[in-house]
Order: sequence, then C-alpha cells, then structure tokens
Amino acid sequence: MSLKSSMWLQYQIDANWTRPLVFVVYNILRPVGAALLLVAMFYVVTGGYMGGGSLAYLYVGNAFFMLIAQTLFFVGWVVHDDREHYQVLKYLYISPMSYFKYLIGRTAMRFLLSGFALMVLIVLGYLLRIPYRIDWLLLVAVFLVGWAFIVGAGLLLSGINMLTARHGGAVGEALAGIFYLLSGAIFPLSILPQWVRGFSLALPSTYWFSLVRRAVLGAESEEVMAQFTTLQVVLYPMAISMVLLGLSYLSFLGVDHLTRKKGMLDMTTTY
Amino acid sequence: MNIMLNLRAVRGRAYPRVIGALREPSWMLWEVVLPMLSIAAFIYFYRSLNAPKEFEGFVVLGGVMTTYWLNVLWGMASQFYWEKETGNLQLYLAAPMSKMSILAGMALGGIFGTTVRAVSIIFIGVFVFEISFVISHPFLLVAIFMVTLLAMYGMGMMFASLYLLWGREAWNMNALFQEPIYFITGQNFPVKALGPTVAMAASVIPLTLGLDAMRQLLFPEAAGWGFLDPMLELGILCVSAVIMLVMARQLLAFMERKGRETGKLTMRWQ
Repeated sequence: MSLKSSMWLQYQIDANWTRPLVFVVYNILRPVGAALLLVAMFYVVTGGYMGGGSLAYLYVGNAFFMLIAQTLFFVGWVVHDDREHYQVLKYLYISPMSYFKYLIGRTAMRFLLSGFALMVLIVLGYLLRIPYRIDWLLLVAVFLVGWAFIVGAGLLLSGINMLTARHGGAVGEALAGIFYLLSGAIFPLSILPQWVRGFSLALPSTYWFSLVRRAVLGAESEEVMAQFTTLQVVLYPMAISMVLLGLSYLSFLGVDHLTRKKGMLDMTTTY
Repeated sequence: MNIMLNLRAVRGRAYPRVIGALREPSWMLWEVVLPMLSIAAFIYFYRSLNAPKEFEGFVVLGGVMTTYWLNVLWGMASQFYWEKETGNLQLYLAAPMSKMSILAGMALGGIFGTTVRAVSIIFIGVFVFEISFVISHPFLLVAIFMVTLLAMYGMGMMFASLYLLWGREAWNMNALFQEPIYFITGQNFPVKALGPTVAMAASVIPLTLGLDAMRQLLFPEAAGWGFLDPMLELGILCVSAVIMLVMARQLLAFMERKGRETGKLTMRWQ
C-alpha cells in the first residue's frame, strides 16, 4: 500500500503543478533537447551525413541514459525535499509505513515517467533512420536490470542523504555523470585512456549499455564489450544490482538508527 | 533614491555568496567536478568521431559559459522562489532598498563563485585535455565576455521577477531551460549549423551570440563556422543587455505589485 501511495505522490509532485498536456511536453523536452544536442554535434563533424553505426550507437545510448540521469538526479533530492523543503519527513516516519518502501515507490514512478520520455526518443529515432532491430525479450531484461541497478544506486544515495545537509542533487548527478562518461554510453570504451577502462568494466552500467545495444540494435558494435556474451551482460549488472539493493537496505537500517539517534529527522538547514 | 543604501544592499547580498563560495570547499569540488564529467564525455565523443581539435575547445568553452548559465538559472532566476520557500522574501520586501539591488548583489556574488569554477574548467581543459586557445583580440574577447554576462544576468533578473509569484513552476521551468537551451544556443557546436532562422531565433538568449563570438575569437581556424561578425554580435549583446535590465526592472515592479494584491508573496509549498 505504501508503495502504491508513494508512487501516486511522486506523480502528483511531478505533474500537478500544471495541466497534463503541459506536463507531458515538459517531461519529454529535456531528453529530446539532450538528444538533439548530440545529434547536432554528430551532424557538424560528419559534414551533414546522418547515418552509420556511430549515430545509432550514440543515439540509443543517450536515449537510455536518460533513465539513469533523470532517476538518479531526482533520487538525490527526495530525502532533502521531504526533510527540508516540505518538512514532512517526521510525519512520514510516524505514519504506519516503511520509509524505505516509500523511497522505492517514489523512485519507481520517476523511472516510469522517464520511460515515457525514452519511448518518445525511440520513436524520434525512426526519423533519423536509426536501424532498430529490437529483441523484445532482451528489452524486457534491459528494463528489469536497469530498474534494479538504478534504484539500488539511488536508494544507497538516499541513505547517505539522510545524514547530509545538502549535495543531494549533486551526488546523484555525479553518479549519473560517471556512468555517462565511463560506461561507453555515447562513445566506444576504446576511446578512453587504457587505465580508465578497467574501472569502466567494473561498472554495472557498462554491461547494461551493452545489453541495451544488443536489445535495440540487434548486436554489440563496441569492440571491448563484444567479447562478452549476452548472458554475461545480463547476469553481471543483475548481480551487482542485487548487491546494491542489499547494501542500500543495510545502509538504510544503519542510517535510520543514526538519524533518530542524532535527532536529524526534522533538521532544517535552509540550504 | 538613496544610492549608498542600495550599494550597501548590493554588497550585503553579494557577501554571503562570496564568503559561501570560499567557506564551503566541498561546494567547489562538486561544482567543478560535475560539469567536468559531461565536458569530458563530450570531448571523448568528438574524439570518437575524429573531429578537429578545435571542436574539443568548443566543448570546454561551452562548459565554461554553461556554468554561468546554470548560475543565472539556479542562482538568480529561481532565487526569489527559494527565498519565498524559506521565508526570507517578505524581509527583502519590507526592507527599504530597491529589489534590483538585491538582484544585483546576487549577480555579483554569483559571478564571483562561478568564475572560480569557470577558471578551474579552463585549467583542466588546457592541462588535461590539451586544448589550445588563441587569444588574438584580447580586448574584444573581454568586452564580449563581460557584455554576455551582463545580458545573461539581466535575463536572470527578468526571470526572477517572473518567478516571484510561481511555485513549482519556477523550478520546473528552470529545469526545462537546460538541455533544450544547450541545443539551440550551440553549447558544444557552432550554432550556424542549425541554419540562419534557428540561430537568429536562438540569439534572443545572450549565450548564443556570446558563445559564437568567443568561439570565433578563441579558435580562428574555425572562424568559418561563425554565425555573425563578432563586432556585430557585441553590438547586439549590448542592446540585449540594456533591454533585459530595463525589462527586469519593469517586471519586478509589476509582479511585486501583483503579488501584494493577490497575497501570493508569502505562499509556500505551492
């Protein structure tokens, strides 16, 4: 019940400041703007040529990155918003529900709303003649694995934010930025310096983007990741996500204890 | 108008921003590292396409100017909204100085903190990514940079006035003014590529012409990508700065009166 209510609450916070149509437009404009920025960069460098594997690679990677960016950026804020802005954290705590479940619900709705923007980007991709070869089963795996690792990372962040006065959005944005830079989302891993690649291969997002390309474009064109089987790129991020979810729950328990002990549930720093 | 009172208000509002920027080193870390992540990603993206080296410079320049744009959005435009949410707005309105002095103080303090970040980005761009800037017309470059800032912060003041009565719309509108604006202003690529009509329309945002002019001056080998002559762009930016500041003043007075009449100036959590 708390899951459903928190999902509904997230939708209301996100959408009820305006009419539904305006919200729909608002929800897709940012991801579309980000995609067009990359497409324009590509267009300028190729002298107007719009095609080839590179365009498909960057477009699909960037479109799916929106799920990570929008969800993680939001998750960074949610605790601070509840505690400092709306000052409702203490009321949420004394209501008969788990705050952890509440966070999962709010994150899940943000993920869903970002999914709508992703759908629009995929449709726009047809205009750019992106050669989609969608494997629907793998696509389901993309969403399941993606949701698990993004929410796992997000919940871990939320735990940290229970103890901090600010940096909420910044921490989420930083994590998303690291995934963008190091996971081969818009350019092949081979472009990165050799010493960074080892770190890239430790990130679940690297495997997830490889899974995305296999599911949406039908094959993996990235040389480094092509060495992994599809099963490996499903299992590795899934395993990491399970660890992240477990860690986030354990850290939440610890942070929850500390927050109560230090009397930080109703802390307002006016940052 | 009491000039000394207003100058004190400017100093008073700039002070916490300047001190805050220096007193919280962790802010500085985030604010330098965060833009660098996306800047680095865009640089590697250009490298993956074998783009000419100056395109990597476009990314660094775009990143520098974007930090100012973000400060305009989150440190200027939405500031009265935050002040309302934290309960400070009524104190500003009750105080005897002009509200434009408060906005000017915010702008000056914001420019200080943002400049520290911008210099760090240039430093990283030059020493880590080996970007070369050619400064052939230093005075023109400085003039364009300063006027671009003036026009951008004037625009921020104008938005601050508009956002005075808004609730979450203000926050959401700011969010909307990021990626789509990066695209139409040509943050990482020459705006000329969007065609003259779009580039002309995008020139309403001072960032567009400022970036275009600075790109031409700092990367002469890519001057062919320039949209307009830098001198002409400087002239347009000057006019734009004056219009923004005058409109900000008019709008602020109008919105404040409207807010007092409708009782919305102290409403929180809308």
